[in-house]
Amino acid sequence: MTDIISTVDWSRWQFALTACYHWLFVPLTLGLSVIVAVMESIYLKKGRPDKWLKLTKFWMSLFAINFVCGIATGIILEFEFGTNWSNYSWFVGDIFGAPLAIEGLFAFFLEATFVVVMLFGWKRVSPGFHLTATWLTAIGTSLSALWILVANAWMQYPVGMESNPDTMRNEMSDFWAVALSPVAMNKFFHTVMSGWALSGCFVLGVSGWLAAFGKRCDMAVPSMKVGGWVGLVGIILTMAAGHGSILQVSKSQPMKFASLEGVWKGSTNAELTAFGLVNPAKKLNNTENPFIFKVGAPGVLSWATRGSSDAFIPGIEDIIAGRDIIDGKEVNTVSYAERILRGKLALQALADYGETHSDEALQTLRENYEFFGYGYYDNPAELIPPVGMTYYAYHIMVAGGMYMLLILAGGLLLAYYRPDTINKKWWAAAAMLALVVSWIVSQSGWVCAEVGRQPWVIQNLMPTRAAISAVSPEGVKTTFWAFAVVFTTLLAAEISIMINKIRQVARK
Amino acid sequence: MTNLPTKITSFYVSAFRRSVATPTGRRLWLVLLLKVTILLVLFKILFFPNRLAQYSTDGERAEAVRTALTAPTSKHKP
Repeated sequence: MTDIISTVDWSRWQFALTACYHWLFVPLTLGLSVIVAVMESIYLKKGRPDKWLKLTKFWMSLFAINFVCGIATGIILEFEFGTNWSNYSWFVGDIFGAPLAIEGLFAFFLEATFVVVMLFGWKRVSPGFHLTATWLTAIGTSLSALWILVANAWMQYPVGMESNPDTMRNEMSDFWAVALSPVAMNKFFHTVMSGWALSGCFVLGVSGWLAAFGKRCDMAVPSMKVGGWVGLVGIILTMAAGHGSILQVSKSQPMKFASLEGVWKGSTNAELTAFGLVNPAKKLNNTENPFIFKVGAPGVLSWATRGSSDAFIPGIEDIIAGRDIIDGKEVNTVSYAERILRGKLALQALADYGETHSDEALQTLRENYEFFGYGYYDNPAELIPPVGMTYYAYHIMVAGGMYMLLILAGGLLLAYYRPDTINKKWWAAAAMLALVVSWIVSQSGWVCAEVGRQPWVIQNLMPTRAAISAVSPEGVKTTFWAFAVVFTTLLAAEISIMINKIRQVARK
Repeated sequence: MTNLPTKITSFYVSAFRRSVATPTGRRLWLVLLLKVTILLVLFKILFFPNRLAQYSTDGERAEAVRTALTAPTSKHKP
């Protein structure tokens, strides 16, 4: 048992490490491709002035470095599904594999085909065709993200499927329900727009350095205008889609929502905590205060989530007890005790069906399948995600997002109205801080999404610990550290190549 | 007159040559090859063989997953 826990934990760390490293590259690809496409469009619209060609090529070269360094990490994640998570891959591969296959066949193919034209097609193809290739690269990166996020959203909100106990597979019954689920759509816009915002901050940070230390205001000002606009549009839409996303989470993953907000006990006039220190001693049904201290606004969480400050917001304890109040009336949801009971019935029925193929076992399985995953647990307390980590990640994401908004708006104002100030060191420091903050925010967003849904790998159906392959913990530990070393070395190589490129421009 | 497939092939071949013509390009190719070799090939072969591939039919694979998910069944009895 200790071995199983160790294998699960190390496999989770390994997957998290790979995903976090992959996500260092992806958001910059998503946003910088658009920024480069906008710059090239301006270059053509203005009658091909040399200044805009140089700018486009400079940011395109940084895009290329990031693209190449990030290119294989995503494939490693897909490998890990098969190696470390083979039960998962078999159980839901028919559904989960479809969007991944579409991503590989169409979106990545589109992106990979045209990125070569974009990088090496200058003077080899017509300017119009080159611009088309640049935009198609940008569209390809977003389409890649779409299908990956559809797959991820399905794990958070499994719809459009039927289970087949003969093949032990869940099979897709409605492709469009999977592809267009509200979770997928919110997740797609929130994530892609966050890539635009991050890239805007990247452009502002690099431009700040170029202006203050490289004396290249001629490059920094127009870059800040394009990067600033793309980033500003990105951060505003990220916030809008984030609100849609959190409303969706409150409906489809209420336990995650309560953890993100740090709400243990439900109430009307629920308080939105701006920041607080989570009390680690708070456990299910003890009398400890959930926060050591907090600063919040009463009623705002109720109003923002359910449209009225008088609305009831269920906490973790209410969700476990199966209690909610909607429109002033007490509503009984399914308590976790009952879910666990029905989950165990479903699990036993699945085992019985394997031996007998009886209709009775099949019927019991079907009747209780929606709570299948709960059968792996005995205690509802095991079904609560790590509240502290989820809460902090969420609040770091929101606070950092505010800083990004401030810097993107401020950068635009400076670029248009006070371009003489952008070579000041205080601005360079603020913009370069935004560059770092934007990556912290981006990673925090994924911590919210993935840690907040624990213990599930597929919401309500499959806990993470059931998804694991029979791999040795030693193998996973070894590869975890090896991955950590290789990824860090490659990241250092990427940063060093990028810095060299930026310095080259500054020297010119 | 060169036909379209030849033109496209020649374009991509020439793009590859240009990509390795600069020090930055060569470093990027090195990063990419290292990553693919170490992470994909080496680790997959040495540490993570496909456990379900040892079974010859899908039926056997399904049974292996059923056993993994439901055993020990007594643990899940309500």
